Amino acid sequence: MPEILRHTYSLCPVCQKKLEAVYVRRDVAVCFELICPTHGSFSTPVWYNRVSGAAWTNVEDELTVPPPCPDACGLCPEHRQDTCCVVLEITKRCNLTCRFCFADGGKGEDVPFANLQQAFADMVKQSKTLVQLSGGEPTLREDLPLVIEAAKKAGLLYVQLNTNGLRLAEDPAYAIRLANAGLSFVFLQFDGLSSSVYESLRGRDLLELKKQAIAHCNDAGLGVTLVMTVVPGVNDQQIGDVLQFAWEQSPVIRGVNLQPVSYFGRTPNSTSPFEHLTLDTLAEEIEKQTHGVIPSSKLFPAQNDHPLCGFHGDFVITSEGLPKALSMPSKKCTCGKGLVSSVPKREFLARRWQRKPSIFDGNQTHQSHDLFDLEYFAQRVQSHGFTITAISFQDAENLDLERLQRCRLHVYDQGRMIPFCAYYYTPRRLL
Amino acid sequence: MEQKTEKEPLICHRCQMPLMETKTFFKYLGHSFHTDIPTCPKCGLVYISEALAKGRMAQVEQELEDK
Ligand SMILES: [Zn+2]
Ligand SMILES: [Zn+2]
Repeated sequence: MPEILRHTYSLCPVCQKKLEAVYVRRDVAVCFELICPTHGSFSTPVWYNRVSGAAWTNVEDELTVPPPCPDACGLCPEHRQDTCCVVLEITKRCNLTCRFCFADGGKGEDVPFANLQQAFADMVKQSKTLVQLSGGEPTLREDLPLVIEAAKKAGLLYVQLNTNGLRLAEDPAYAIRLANAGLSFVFLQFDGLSSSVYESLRGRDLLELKKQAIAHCNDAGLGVTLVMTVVPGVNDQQIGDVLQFAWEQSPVIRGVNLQPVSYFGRTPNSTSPFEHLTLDTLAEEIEKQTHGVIPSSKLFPAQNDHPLCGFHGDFVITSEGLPKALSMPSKKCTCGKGLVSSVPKREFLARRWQRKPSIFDGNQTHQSHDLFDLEYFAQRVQSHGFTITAISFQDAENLDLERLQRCRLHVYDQGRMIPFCAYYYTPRRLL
Repeated sequence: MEQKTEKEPLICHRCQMPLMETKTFFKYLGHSFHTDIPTCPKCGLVYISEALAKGRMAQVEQELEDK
């Protein structure tokens, strides 16, 4: 017997009519389901119970009336989470044509510099202090160092660059210029460790370029977090390889951000039926493919986010070069009404993603390599912290307005802060 | 970052013995640690200085607590 687990609201994937939706436990999976009077019924699996769902259970009250999302997004008074990170598109141009691209970049223009200055001022005024420079491909802007400088001058604490790494690879001096301009850390698109993965997803073999980009960031003292778009059947068997590659290059590599593919932007309807890699499948694959070095029990849903939006695990890389888990489940309950602050989380993540010069970084001066030694531990966590995060973006197939209401990743658009999945929402095209 | 406090010898109130830096094992937030803490050689009293509590231990707490 199917069992309804939770009521919420969604949009018809085709006509975007606001409708009731439910999570239903069926034989193989928990499915997200809705029925449009015009376009019929939709069902998509969101959880296969591959890891225990206990820690992942939502503790918030169910929605009883349809929320104003996404029409009122930007943010509306009903929004439940403060901004953690702001995504700012600084150009539409791109030097790749990827199969999957949420921004559908490639053509178009740079955002005028004065608009960016205005955006930075807006963010600082609202105490949103972490900006992700995004695109398109932000490094195509000749004035990128000036943009970074302007962000820092406006008062932003953390400036993150989202990049495919081509420019960083081509020019060893470029990373140094960006670091000198005040760049805090780099998020590098990194889909796998074989040429074919890049050929399939990005149109050409980029593996050696990615490695060069990492080396150049290392020379510039910039921390790099690898961003892996995980596509079933293309690179989902390389998750373990990417994680190992990453921790073996601690401290330049600060962690891995895994993004199961979502269907919006360029490919709202590229495969049929849509195939989502659910978070429990991802957690199980991480454990399996790392041969238990990263157990799924050490990956936790982020405390204030909706549990279906992502997870994270905190580690320190030991002097033997292996990840040791740090995180533990919190007993703190932050549920309740009102806007939840994102400051502690933002500071925590920024601390992890940013590379810290440490006396333990190069020549070891401390006699101990013993993680039980409080002094060594405290230093090592800063210099060799390693963070695994997963973000599961919503698309037309599984858009849950309750999730949207609790989103803390926002896109800046002309003074408004729009939840990421609302901003890039792309309705399904009729075949 | 770490401030050094004045280096007057600490005295155990009960035993009137000077405390000695002693490697001390403890459990904190699910992890086991050791560090040198002034300890009375006779009765074992330990003195957790403000510098330790507000410095390293606070930092470790920040790193270990879930966000
Ligand atoms: Zn419809
Ligand atoms: Zn004593």
